[in-house]
Amino acid sequence: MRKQSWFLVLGLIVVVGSLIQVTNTVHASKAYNSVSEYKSIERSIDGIEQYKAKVKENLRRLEKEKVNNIAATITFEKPLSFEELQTYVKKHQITPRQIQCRALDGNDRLTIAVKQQKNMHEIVQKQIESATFIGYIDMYAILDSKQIPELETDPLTFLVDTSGDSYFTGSDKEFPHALSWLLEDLKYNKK
Amino acid sequence: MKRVLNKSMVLALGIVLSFAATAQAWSYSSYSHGSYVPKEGSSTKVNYSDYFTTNVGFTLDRDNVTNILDYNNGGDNPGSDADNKNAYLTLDQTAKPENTLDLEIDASSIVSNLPDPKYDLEINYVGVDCDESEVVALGAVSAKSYYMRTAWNDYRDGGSSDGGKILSQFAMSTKGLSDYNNVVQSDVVQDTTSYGDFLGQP
Repeated sequence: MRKQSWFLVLGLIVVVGSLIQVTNTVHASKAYNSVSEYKSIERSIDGIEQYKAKVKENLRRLEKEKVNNIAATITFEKPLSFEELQTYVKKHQITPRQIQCRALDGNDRLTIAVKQQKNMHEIVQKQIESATFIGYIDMYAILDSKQIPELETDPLTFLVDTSGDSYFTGSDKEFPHALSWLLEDLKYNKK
Repeated sequence: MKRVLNKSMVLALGIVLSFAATAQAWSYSSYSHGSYVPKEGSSTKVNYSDYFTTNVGFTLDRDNVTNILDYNNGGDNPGSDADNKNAYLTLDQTAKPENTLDLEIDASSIVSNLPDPKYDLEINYVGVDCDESEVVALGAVSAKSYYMRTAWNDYRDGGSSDGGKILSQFAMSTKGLSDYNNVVQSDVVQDTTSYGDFLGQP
């Protein structure tokens, strides 16, 4: 009898566990791959606008559900100076995971990724050697949904993309690939 | 006077050591290590006061480019691992420390002239120090010279197992080497750069 009770309890744990699993993945529509997602964007101004609209719908869902600890890629409206970046990060109380910047070396576009740290800009300047520094173009960060409204309306923000967060993917958090290179290719006038 | 001279000498030696560079190269006679792997390339390690850089330079020839673009488009790729998958040129610099519990170096920055790069600074051991830097070129490559350079924060203080090696290896991946099932990786490491136990030591 006692043995049967234990089996009953174990069975109940398995059923509850399965239900929790289903609850956690309820928002996932398909396996997320940041590269294939990026490559699926139509290479045109309309394609960018459509993608932007879809991403903004996601933000409304996160706000409504008050989701925290969200993986986000923020693409800037224009390349930012180091001082502008610092002000932006402080204003929105962001701890960036990885920041990208652009430099030009003749016809070559250089892309630099750097972790947020004390001598960050110094390392960037050393890394690009004699190339011309253009500015900071996008970043990876972990956000709470309450930060989204102000980030979205900041004139220095082009897009806050949270498509790779586990809320939508049902798996590990992934940072979407930023749109910076594509926008430059399309000579997209963000304003 | 003697004392001043000694200080100057130490200072000069320090400057020389802090910018000391080491270089090495690889050269293959065929594409047996991967049709996407450049036949020739080189690496340079440069020491600064509190970090060092490892630069991998290489030239993609027309054959490399044809094959890489073919991988990019998916379909019937060489072998079977990447069939019907869009795979992109990937270069990884991975630290293999002597002591995996205390890395002593930390990948903090990557720069490259590869087109539309997706970068990852990854932690595979314990703590907060990144042991791996990776670039996936999402844009269309050309027959020309490219490079990937990683800056490593340098915390080595002479401990007997503070040193290690940094391995650079090419692959074709769908989104980076973290997704191991979707990767075709060269069967050999293209470059191995050693680092010693002391700050600034080659």
